[in-house]
Amino acid sequence: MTEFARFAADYFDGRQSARHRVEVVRVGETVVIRGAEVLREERVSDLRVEPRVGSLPLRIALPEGAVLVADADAVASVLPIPRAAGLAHRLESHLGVVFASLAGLVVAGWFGYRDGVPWLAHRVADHIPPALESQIAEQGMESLDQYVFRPSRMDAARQARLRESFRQLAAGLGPAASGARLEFRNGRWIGANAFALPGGTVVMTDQLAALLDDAHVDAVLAHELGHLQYRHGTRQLLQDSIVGLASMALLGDASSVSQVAATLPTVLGHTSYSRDFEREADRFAFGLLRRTGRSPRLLGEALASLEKAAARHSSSECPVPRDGSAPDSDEDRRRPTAEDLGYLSTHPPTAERIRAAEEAAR
Amino acid sequence: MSDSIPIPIPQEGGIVPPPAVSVSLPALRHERFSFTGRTGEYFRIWIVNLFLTIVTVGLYSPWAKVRKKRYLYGNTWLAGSNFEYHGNAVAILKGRLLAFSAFVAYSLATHYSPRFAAAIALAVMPAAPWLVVRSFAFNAVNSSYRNIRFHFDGRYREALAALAPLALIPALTLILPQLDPAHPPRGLREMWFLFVPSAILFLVYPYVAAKVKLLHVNRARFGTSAFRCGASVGAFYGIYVLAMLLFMLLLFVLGIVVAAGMFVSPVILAVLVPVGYFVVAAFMLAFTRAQIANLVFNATRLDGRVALRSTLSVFGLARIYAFNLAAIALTLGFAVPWAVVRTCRYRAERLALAAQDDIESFVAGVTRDVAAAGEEMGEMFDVDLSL
Repeated sequence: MTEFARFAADYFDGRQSARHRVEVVRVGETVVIRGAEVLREERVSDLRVEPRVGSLPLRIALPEGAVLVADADAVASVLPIPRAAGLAHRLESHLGVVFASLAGLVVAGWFGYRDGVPWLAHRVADHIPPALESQIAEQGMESLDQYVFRPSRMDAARQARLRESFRQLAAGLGPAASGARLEFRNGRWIGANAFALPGGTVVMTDQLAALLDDAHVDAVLAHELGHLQYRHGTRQLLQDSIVGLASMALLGDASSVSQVAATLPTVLGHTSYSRDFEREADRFAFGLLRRTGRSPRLLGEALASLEKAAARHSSSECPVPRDGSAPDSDEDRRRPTAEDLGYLSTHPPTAERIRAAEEAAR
Repeated sequence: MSDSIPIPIPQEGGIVPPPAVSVSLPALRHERFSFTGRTGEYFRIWIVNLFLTIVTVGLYSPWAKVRKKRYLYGNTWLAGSNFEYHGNAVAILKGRLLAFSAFVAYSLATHYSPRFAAAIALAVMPAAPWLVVRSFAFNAVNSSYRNIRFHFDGRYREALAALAPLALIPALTLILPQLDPAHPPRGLREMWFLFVPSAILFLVYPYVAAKVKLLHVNRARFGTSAFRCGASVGAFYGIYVLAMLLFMLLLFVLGIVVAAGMFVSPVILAVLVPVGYFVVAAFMLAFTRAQIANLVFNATRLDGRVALRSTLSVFGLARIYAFNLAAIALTLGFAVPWAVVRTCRYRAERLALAAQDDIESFVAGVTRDVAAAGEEMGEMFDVDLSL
């Protein structure tokens, strides 16, 4: 008579948490489970093997709620393990599948980040009502007025002149840019700057107006109109949220620790996406300037002046807001500070943009 | 992990033997938890499941969740046996689809009819306590040790009582003065009402956190053995107030360091600010996690005779969190399995059962709750809505 196939197991009856050491012996189409306090016989077809996970012991459910827990390899030589019970485990322990997943994730991550997120944000932005956009922008403007800006001191004649040429530039653009408003503010410590708020407002600082003549201000405003035309502000906001949500969903299983880490791709993503938007707005401005009979070179020159002013100003000035109530006589005369770390990383290198302007002018 | 052989006392009808009355108090005995998961093995499971989740546009995610939880539970050992997770992926999928459709309905509603969206939001608010209860119950009933399931039978009104103070915050926005865009407030004196909601949140948050935690433990059972936690709400306040003070102190120190760094070079800021952010985040997370876990575990008794001992150290946990954060950030997320495994190992190593009589006789003597036994099959758990 041959030796019967057998394996050692822990037996739990499901009524009490006692652990029984047993031996499981296969005799034809039945198994005999035998221990100090256990003796039962079951048909092999009544055993239900639960899916394997890693190198954990295998669980075999018996009728009426009892289970056997035993080393997976020992069981495999005695009982047939249904293919379905090992499918996920085979995938997870197959080195080829693991490397293919790794490669697939890197590729999917790369394209998702580069193309997928901007595409999705663009589609979503198309469904955001303009009213909501301008509401968000108004709230943003309110807090800027409260904490950063002071009323403009630019003379009324120049304001009117700049508004008129802005109106001419914006006329005939897409729905997001054609009705745009131009606002003037004393930018104080943020210096020479102009930016577009979603919903159709462009803000420029007195410091910018002091640095550039009207033709060059127009070139900068054309660039800002590009941001409005393509709804960059809204898309940027959406892209940041999508990257944040996606990294949270994918990395979420280390709980809140990785939620903190998940903010990093958002920050990195913000800078690289925003550089793409700057380039797009530049290209838009080149086209708009040419169509209105001006040279794209104006934008290049404006950027060069901004950079020079910033370099003159250098890092000796503190770019951090001062107390808002401080009397500001010398702050107002301070030279513009377009360049700080944030500006550096969110904008493409100025030299590259100036070169692009020169090429567009040819 | 103990290899002692259990001495099962067969009891008709599954009655737990009464604890032996000891005359000379024997020394407190400990039975440590341990975690045997390995980074390499978990990495494979994690990455294959993540890939399948992405390829199936998220539809595989419930199966991925079950695989990962089964690995992490299964590698947690106590007295020679491991824990088990039994969550049903189809139930989780149904719950996620339900939550997703509710989210889509809400987003569409905000687009077309803000009034309808507000109605949805109002309808969801009273459901929050119910979601908390369901989520605790689903996780409990799908966890087992030695083939005996855990249970949770907290009630809706208990969860409602725990969460109710949070309703103060939206209620206050109706009462407090509104910001008038035409006359923006100047100075702190005119802006006081802007700080009221955050102040209220800070005041009620420890209460809510304590009540939810106590509900979670006090309504939990392992088989027929009930958990009882004697931690007081005041102790939670102590931890959170201390955490707030520490947080302000750390921000102050960080501010000084950043200001000093700026004198040297603004480029240093680009390094200092993110590093400071990670260190402060890791420390604050570790502080509250370790303190709350120690408080709750050490005040908890099972069956009135077995205690839990948690000895998490704030600095030990903070070091683990800080390296986890740095590794996850530097590897763009691929270090998550490594972080999960070492965190689980540390937490398990710092947890033990303690009893004056034989722990093994307790561990082996817990009986199944026959009255609640049907619930793992019942349709009550057809849909998982865990948060």
